[in-house]
This record gives sequence, structure tokens and C-alpha cells, in this order.
Amino acid sequence: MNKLLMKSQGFLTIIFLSIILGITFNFISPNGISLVYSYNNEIEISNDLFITIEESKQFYENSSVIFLDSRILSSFKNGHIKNAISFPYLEFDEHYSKLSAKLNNSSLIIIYCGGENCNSSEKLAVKLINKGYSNIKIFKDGWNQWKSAKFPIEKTK
Amino acid sequence: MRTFIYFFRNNSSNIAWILFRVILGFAFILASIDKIINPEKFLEIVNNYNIVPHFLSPIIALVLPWIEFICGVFLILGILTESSATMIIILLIGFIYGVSVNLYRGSDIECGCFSLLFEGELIGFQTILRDIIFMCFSIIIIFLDRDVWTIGKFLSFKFNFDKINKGNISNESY
Repeated sequence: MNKLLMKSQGFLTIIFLSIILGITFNFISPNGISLVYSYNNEIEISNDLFITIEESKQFYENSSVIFLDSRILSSFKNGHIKNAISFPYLEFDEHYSKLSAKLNNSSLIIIYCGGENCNSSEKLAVKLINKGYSNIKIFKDGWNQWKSAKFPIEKTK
Repeated sequence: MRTFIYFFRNNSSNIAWILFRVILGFAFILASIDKIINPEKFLEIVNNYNIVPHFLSPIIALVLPWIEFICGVFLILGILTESSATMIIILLIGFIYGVSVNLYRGSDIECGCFSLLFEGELIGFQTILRDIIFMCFSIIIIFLDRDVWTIGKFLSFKFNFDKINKGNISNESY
């Protein structure tokens, strides 16, 4: 019993120290994040932005459509929709400056990520909409569905 | 030389304890640093795992790396060793759960394990295997339960040579 008490004291010390250090460090760090998870600066995504896999395939066969892969680069390299462009959401600014020349409002932009459980495609869509792009769709089922439907894919070395 | 061999033979479990402690400690410090520096990236990774409600993700993204860091430092210094090792086991059970659920879902998500060493590593069976190895380290640390080469010993200047050399006196081996 005594040992259990000592052990729980050890646990509490570690957790308490971590909470204090984590929050203090976050407060003073320039990379700090908001403690409350919020969709600040984001707009509601209307449902008509989302497209199904069949619609994506139809758009895919149309030549003037750009597929953007919002996952991290290593996922992209591991396999992606054929001719898609890597645009990791986490490195938005860096990629935006490189890709903005390729993106224009005349061609449809379809954004996808891993599958139904990821939200980086939505976040990327919101960022692009805020930059003024309006011709955007989100392929919510994403890479997993595309892969299992055996639609054209490719790997990058 | 003979003394060295003598020492290692008779203190193998102490040496193993110190070695596992330091290796596990360094591994966890290494794993935590990138997450501490880039909380935004780690928050995204936590969200991608999709196993905790999103309102909890910022707290986890901020506190979890520090738990890893503190456990790592404590293991190396030998402070609250048993609690730290047990804490690491609990963390690892959580990691294994998160990785397994996402492997089952078939999502290609970033592991967020050692982003300092392997940038953009994806989750996979090797992640679970590594976690199990770390878990074995922690269990060994808890069960060997020594008290040698800890900062407490050094600070209180009660370095107990008797305990280190326990069983050293037998003449059977040499």
C-alpha cells in the first residue's frame, strides 16, 4: 500500500511537472499554439464542396483539373493519385509560393488527403479559399478509397 | 584488466539496469524534442490519429512531449526511476493502441515518433515492434529495481560500493 502511494506520488510529480512545463513553455515559445481547439480564421465548408469518388474520377478524366495532395511529403512519395501535386498543408506558405503560378481559378482544384479520418484537405481548402481561389472541391474519401478502387496511381522516388 | 572482467561478470544486472535506463531515457528525450519545438505540427499529428476528441488534442500535444522528456531525464538521472518507467509503459500502451487503430483503418498517417531523426516517418508494424521493445526495456528496469549510479546517490555522497560489488567476493570464477 505504501509502495502504491509512493508510486502514485511519482506519477503525479511527473504529470504535474509536465503540465506546468508544457503550458509555460507554450506561453513563452514563439511557436505556441492555442490551448482551446478552435476553427479560428476558418470558414464553414459548405457541403457542395465535397465530392464523391465517382465524381472525382469523372473530373480526373477531364484534363484541366489539378489534384492536390495535402498529406505530408513522405505519404505522397509512398503513393498518390497519378499526376497529383504534393501540397502538404503543414508547409502551406512554403508550397504556396512555389505553386501559386500553377494554380489558377480557371482550372478546377481537387484536394484530397488520406481518407475520411483526415482533415488536412479541408484545412488546405479553407486556406486556398481565403487566398481567393473559388474553384475548389474536396475529395473526402481521399487516397485510401482511390487506391482500393484501383484508379490510376503512381509513386515518386 | 582482470578487475574489469571481474566487475562486469559480477555486476551484469547492475550494468544492464544502468544501460537500459540510459538508452530508454535518451530515446524518449530524442523523441520529445521535435514535438516540444513544433507543437503545431504535433497537434496536427495528434488530430490525424483521430483517437481522442479534438478539444483534448492541444492539451495532449503540449503535455505529452513533456511527459516523455521528463521521464527520459528522470531515467537517465535515476530520479523516480520506477514511476518514470511505469509512466513510459502507459504511454507506450497508448501509442500502440493509436498506431494499431490507424493501421486497421488503413490510414497512411505520420508516426510523429522520432521526427528529429526520421522526418515524416509513417506508421507501420515496425512502429508497434519498436514500442514493444521499449516496453520490454521499461519492464526490465522496473523488475531489476537497482539503486546504482543515480543522481540521488551521487548527491548524497552515499555511493554504496557494497551494493555495486554485491557477490563480488566469491572466488569461484577466478
